[in-house]
Amino acid sequence: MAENSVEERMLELIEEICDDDVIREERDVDLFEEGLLDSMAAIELLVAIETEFGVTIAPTAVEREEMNTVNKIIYQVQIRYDAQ
Amino acid sequence: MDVSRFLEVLVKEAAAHPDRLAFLNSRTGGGSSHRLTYGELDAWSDALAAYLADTAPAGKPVVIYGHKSPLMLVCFIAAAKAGLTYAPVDIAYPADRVNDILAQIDHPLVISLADEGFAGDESLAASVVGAEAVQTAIAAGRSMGRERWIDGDTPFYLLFTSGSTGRPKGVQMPSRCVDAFMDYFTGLFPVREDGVSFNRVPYTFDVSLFDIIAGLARGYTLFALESEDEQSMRAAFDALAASGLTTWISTPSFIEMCLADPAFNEELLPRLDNVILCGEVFRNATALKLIERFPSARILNTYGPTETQAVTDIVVDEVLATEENPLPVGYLGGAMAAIVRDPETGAVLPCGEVGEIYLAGDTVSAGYWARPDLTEAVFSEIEGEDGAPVRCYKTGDKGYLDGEGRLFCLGRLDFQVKLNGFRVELADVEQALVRVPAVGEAVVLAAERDGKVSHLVAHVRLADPAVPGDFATSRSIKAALKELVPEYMVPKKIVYHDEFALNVNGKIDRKALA
Repeated sequence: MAENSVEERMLELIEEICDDDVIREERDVDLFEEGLLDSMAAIELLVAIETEFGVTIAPTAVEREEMNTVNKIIYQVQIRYDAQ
Repeated sequence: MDVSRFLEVLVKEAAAHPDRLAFLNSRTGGGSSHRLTYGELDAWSDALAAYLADTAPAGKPVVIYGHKSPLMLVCFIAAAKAGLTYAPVDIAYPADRVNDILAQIDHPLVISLADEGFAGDESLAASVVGAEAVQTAIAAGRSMGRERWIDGDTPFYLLFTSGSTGRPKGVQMPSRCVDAFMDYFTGLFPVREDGVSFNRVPYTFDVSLFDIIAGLARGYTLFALESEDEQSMRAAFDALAASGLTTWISTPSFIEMCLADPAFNEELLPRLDNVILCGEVFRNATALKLIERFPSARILNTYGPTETQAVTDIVVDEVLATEENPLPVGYLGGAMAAIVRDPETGAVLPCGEVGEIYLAGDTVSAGYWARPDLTEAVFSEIEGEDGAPVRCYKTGDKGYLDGEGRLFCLGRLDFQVKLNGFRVELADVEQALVRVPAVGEAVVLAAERDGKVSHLVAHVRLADPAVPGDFATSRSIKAALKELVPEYMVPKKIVYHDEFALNVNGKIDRKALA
């Protein structure tokens, strides 16, 4: 249950930042390569994650390759959320 | 003739401290190729100037193609010493745009310093020479007298910016304007012998001239990030920590990104005493956060389009950041005048009333390269206070002056937007989109978040109604677009329409799409 809720809330968040519902289907594409995310929006996403989940991911703590797809982003949030 | 005073100051600085670094980038790992002393800058640019004087077509700008490297700076100064205009072109520009610039200048000499080689079509250049030719010319060590130095009305640089016709337009900045800009802006760099300024923005962006002109005139070391360090915040922070930075220069967007990390503070940059922001809206929340993280640094908001260079500044402290929203962009007075006119009637408006901002003074550009039509539309001469004619630029910015002589900027009157500091004409993106065969018609709108443009949204009618408006189509349109415009101009999202609603004038109703 808890797992689903993080996933669903994260999808909503990513959809809002990327401004495209295509992210719900294409969960393994490189969001930067597809032009759905740029460095500025990626930072916005980290700030939004902190507000939504109380999970802090400093921009310097993760490299782009660790958070460049929908599934990887959800994973990074999930492991930190579960550790809380 | 009034020979470039900037070059005179630079040569004087080089003689006073030849061993001081003029440029340093974060790829420092030992080799000497990524740092440059004042002595080297002076001597190497002399030698290269002698080569350019022999090689470059007379009266034509020299295109300098590359990203951030010491040799880029040497090339700029060398061109000026040879009496030639330089036109920087960044590696972020796709071939199509590079070729357009080459065609506009009409067969210029190109110096290509990019690791990846030259993206443009060599047949559109007089010739393309690489780093080896530059190194050879430098090694030859010829000297160069001042007789060819750039002066007066000769454009010192030519910067190409997004144009609403779908082609980039070149802003020409005469040597005398560069001198006037130096006179004004050097005052914003604190006097210190160990000054290091942040030369982050690409050379195609006028903000990079802040420290190339004023920073070098003050004897500062220009510090640039390698592009690989820009890709990783961790690497960027490590490079910044090692830089010894004293003057920060960036767009508000970039510093906002850094501020999102709690490690961006006085401990990371203990020597920072000066922060200069320019290029887009500086939000109050950003200002307050910055003041909290760097309590002992002076923070300046500045303003000025490429066509005039930065013309105003104001210190942003806690009181101002708390009391004035939006933040003023500067105090008017002195060398530059701002006039606010009614956009409909052209009547000059009194203090406090919102209209179009016109700027008049010594740093107003000569106009657009080979485009008298575009130039006449926005540049004019008006009578100054002493009766002498002053050049004036119609900015297209919406704003007002208050009773204290402070200028406020409230956005645009047309379809130009600032996206993460980049100046983009929406029509430029639209024109590129309709060049993609799959696209029938296109309208591009800017999406905003918290009062700032966050990204572009393209509304598209496909040429073939049978083609589905799906992810694969969007992907191929974006890929095609990347061949025509820099990546920052590619819309994040594409929305498909079977047809567009028209307004009463028979044009696509942009408001209905918003």
